[in-house]
Amino acid sequence: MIRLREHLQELAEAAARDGRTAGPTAAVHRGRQRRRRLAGGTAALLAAVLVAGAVGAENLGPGGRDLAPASPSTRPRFPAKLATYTPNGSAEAAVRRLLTDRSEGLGACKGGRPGDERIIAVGPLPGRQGVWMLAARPPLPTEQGLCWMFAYGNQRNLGAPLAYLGQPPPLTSLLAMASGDSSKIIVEGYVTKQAARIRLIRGGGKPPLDLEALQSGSEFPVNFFVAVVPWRGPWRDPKEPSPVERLIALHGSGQPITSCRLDGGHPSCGGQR
Amino acid sequence: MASDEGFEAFYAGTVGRLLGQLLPVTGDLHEAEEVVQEAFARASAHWPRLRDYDVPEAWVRRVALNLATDRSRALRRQARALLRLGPPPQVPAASAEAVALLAALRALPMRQRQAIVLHYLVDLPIEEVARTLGIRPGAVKSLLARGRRALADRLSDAEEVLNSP
Repeated sequence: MIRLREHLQELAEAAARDGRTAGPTAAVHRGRQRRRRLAGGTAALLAAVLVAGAVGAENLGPGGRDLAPASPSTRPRFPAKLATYTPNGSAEAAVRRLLTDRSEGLGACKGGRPGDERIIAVGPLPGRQGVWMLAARPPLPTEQGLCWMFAYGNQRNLGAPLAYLGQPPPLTSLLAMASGDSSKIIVEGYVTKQAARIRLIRGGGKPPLDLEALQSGSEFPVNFFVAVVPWRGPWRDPKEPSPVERLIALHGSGQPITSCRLDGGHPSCGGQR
Repeated sequence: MASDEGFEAFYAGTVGRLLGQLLPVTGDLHEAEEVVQEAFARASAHWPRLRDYDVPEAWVRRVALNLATDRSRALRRQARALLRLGPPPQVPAASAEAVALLAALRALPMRQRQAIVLHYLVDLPIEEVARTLGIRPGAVKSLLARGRRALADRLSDAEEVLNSP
């Protein structure tokens, strides 16, 4: 008797029992080595951006540039200067590998034309910690999802380059995710092209911050945004209020279009990949 | 830049299950071990973000499946050269029927194997299998039907394979 489910289950149990892996410490070590290899591409990117003068060196000084507190009369100052940049030349092969990696990079995302990866923007991390990069592939007219990824790092390390694996979910008017460490919080995502600004509502009674959407061009159905907020303290301390609680997409007139929550509340900003 | 807090427990809690799911896809225990370990290595690099996911295991499984596809292309090239010289495939201790099923799975195209494992072993609905593989639900149904038929051709009791719900 060949019972498909039953025998698949039996094989799975046998593999779980007999299989031998090198363990979590070895996985972490291997992951670090891989990050270092990929970080070479980030270094090339940083060098190219600096040479092009697209990101002023003053923006890489200690502390970096904070976001401006939101007010109707204040023009957001961040991202201060941004580059649209296409990697070329052998020195930047690592950036291309990062973008086109078929197992976890944009190459793993199903959508758009293969090989049509675009770097939407590159910007500095505060305190000379390196650069961030946002890349995407223009969707085909019939597609409802969008393949995009965000990475940040420096010559030694690369953090959190995550693309959708498989088919991306249908586009929404506002999507975001957040990560961070003891020195910074990074919030990135995309927003409807109707929005001129994105307001970050912070926890602990701190004033909100506004940032401009990054113009992605006519081939993309949405614009993107990235906020790098200098931060002191642990990331996601359960005893403390969430550093960024909520996002609001705003028209140029200041009227809200939509909002979502990053603190676990509803509606979620839904950035998981 | 990254914190490993919680990674060890996540690894310990999921590695066996993922090995079990990747064995029928790769057809070889060593190969399953390799892609699962590499997928965990990549997960460790993303751990500060992945740990906030509802099901970080799903991310590791997808990466392992992608790695299995990439490696099968490379291995196919090597296999042509090693066909007569290579060692027998690694098979864990299991019943004769299960071992026969593993051998039959090995003969299927990678996409069919992945669809069968995701649907019949991981128990994902058709729509979720489609999202994972980046194809349409109709294509998943077609992969499953063709896969079942091919397995039935290779195994003794065709009825049980063809009629699997």
